[in-house]
Amino acid sequence: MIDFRNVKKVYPNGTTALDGINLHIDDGEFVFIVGPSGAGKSTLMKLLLREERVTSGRLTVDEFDLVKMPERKVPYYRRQLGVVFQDFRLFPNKTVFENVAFAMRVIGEPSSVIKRRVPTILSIVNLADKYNCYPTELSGGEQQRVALARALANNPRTIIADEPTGNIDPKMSLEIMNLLVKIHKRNKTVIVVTHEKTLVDYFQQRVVTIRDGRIVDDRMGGMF
Amino acid sequence: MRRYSITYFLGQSISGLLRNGVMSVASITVLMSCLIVVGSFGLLVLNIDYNMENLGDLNTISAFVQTDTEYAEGDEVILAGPLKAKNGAEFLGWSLDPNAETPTYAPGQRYTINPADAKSGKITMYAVWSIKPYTVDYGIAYDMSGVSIEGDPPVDSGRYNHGDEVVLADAPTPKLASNTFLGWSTVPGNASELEIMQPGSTYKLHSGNAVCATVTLYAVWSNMPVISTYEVVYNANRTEIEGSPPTQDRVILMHIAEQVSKLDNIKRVDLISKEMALKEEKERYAEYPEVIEAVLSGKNPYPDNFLISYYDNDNVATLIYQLNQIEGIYKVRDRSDLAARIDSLKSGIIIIFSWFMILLFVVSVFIIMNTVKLAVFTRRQEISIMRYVGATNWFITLPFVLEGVFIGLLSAGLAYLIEWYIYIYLQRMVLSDTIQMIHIVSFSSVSRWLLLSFIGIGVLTGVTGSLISMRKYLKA
Ligand SMILES: Nc1ncnc2c1ncn2[C@@H]1O[C@H](COP(=O)(O)OP(=O)(O)OP(=O)(O)O)[C@@H](O)[C@H]1O
Ligand SMILES: [Mg+2]
Repeated sequence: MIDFRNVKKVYPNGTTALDGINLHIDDGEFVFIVGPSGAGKSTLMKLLLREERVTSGRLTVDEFDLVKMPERKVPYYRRQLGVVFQDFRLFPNKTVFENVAFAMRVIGEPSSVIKRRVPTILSIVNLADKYNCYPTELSGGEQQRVALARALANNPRTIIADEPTGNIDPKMSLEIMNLLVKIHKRNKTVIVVTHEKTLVDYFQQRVVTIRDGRIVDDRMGGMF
Repeated sequence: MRRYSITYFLGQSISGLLRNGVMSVASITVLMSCLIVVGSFGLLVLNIDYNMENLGDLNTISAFVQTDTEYAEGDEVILAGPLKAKNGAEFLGWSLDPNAETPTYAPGQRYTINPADAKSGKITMYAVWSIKPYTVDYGIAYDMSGVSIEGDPPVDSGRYNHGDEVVLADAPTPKLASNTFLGWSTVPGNASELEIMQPGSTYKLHSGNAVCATVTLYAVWSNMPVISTYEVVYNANRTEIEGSPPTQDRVILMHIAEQVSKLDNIKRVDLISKEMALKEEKERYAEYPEVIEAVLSGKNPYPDNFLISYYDNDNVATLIYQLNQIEGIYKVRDRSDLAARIDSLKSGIIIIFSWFMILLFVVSVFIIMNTVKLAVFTRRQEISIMRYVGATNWFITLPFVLEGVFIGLLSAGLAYLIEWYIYIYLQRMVLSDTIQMIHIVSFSSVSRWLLLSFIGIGVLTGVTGSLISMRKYLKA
């Protein structure tokens, strides 16, 4: 459950990126966030990640109150989220396996668990046979699937993807989007920021449109 | 069950150090030099202190005292303080008359030597008590009438009654062969032939001859010495007292000690009596007793001496002046010069040392900061991903802190080895000097502390440097 109440975000330089945002996302929902460049979509994601703090209003994610949360709790909150970026952000000098395992090591998962879980996750994103490759040996779509696997590594409740298909060619984009839908079916909340009109139209899910920092449209099976 | 692997952290920090090899070497070199400088100064101050200890407390003054207790007519004498009677009698004062009811002199009062008060050169001060002393029997005392004799004067510890027959002591042998012993007399000074009694003969005790229940038998010589100096002796006057009656030189010493203690800036006053000084000197040359005997020829050349320790070196001139003013102190020797010089040397070293230390630590911290900053920079992407997947701050920070720890440990170890080498080298150089005026603290006795403080300071500096450069990354 994600709940924005009258959220406003003003950056230190005075730019108002978001204003009067009221948005409620239930557990297990699939939501597209769309809107023109500079509308405030990434800012919305950053607030969710607690990378940025809201200027005013309330923001709660499950039992976490992101306004009142002390700094030291932030890592534990983030373990509930899986994040995917436009630019993959993989370690070029680590294998696919190690890239995924890294997310688990960071939170102190024992090696035995890592050895068991990583192959399972890699098979979800259809990369089971590439576990020993380095990112440079993979296509853009494959790299993004590794990133997705990493996001899933710690079994988060929510997946946040900011333009996951922005850097890959359209054929591969559909595959990534299909994977996100597949993950959604495994009872996870999925929030996807995207510019790809055809995909949004194709999947017929809830679409939230943001323009100039405000939600201007929010409907099921919506269109751009 | 969460488990973090130590090898992960160690691997991360060591690979960080190796990746920025030049910076790491620079940090270690600077921190190491810093530790060597700190260690050298520390050892220097330690050695100064060690040598000072051998010199004893430098804040001391020796005040030498003249306790000449042979007085001439007209000299002024300080009289002894009160005595303490065992029978509870109150001490009232001193009197020349053993039967006086009221004292003539208060304790501590001054008395002017009057030959008329003397008997055979002795002026006896009798204690006057609130309870009148009373004895039924009489003692015998022998007085050599101012002539030096071989051995000790005879002693008769018997008690007699009026009319008892006393066997007189044997003839004493005078030091000067030209003088002959003529016999004993109950009257001091030149005696008529009738009054002289032969040694070994019997004397029928007559209470009328007794003063203060004692009959004194005076030696009569062929050459009676002319008495021109007088001594003052104290007599408890038939009353049992705590301790023994004072001697005049003790009285003088107590009086001086009292005046010294009342001065400002005095920490403690210790009397080193001439007897103690002699004993000490004899112990020092215990291996050559015959030499000591030959040099001293039975005399004690040492004066009584007050060892005065004081607090503050600044006002020592005033103190010396005041000591010189005290009657009886004839010489004052101080070591304030040496003390002041060593003190200023030490504080000078400590000031230079502190500035050097601060400077070097700032430089060390700065360089380590930059080393770690570089390591953080090369791993910034890794760090940002760690954040997104929920790594805690300490998990992110630890490898960098360990990097600082490694820099600290390596610097400490190297600094220790170099310091060791330098110290042993210098020690050998100083000790090969034939005049071994300077004492050197052995390296083994300080090595553990040196290593521990190097490790402590090194690690602290390393960790401080890392934490400062990590600070902005510690925010989510
Ligand atoms: N760190 C920042 N400091 C100041 N202003 C910022 C910052 N990040 C974003 N902005 C501003 O906030 C507004 C919203 O930016 P945001 O990145 O959320 O847009 P977006 O919808 O993600 O755009 P795009 O589709 O191009 O990614 C823009 O005007 C942007 O310039
Ligand atoms: Mg954006």
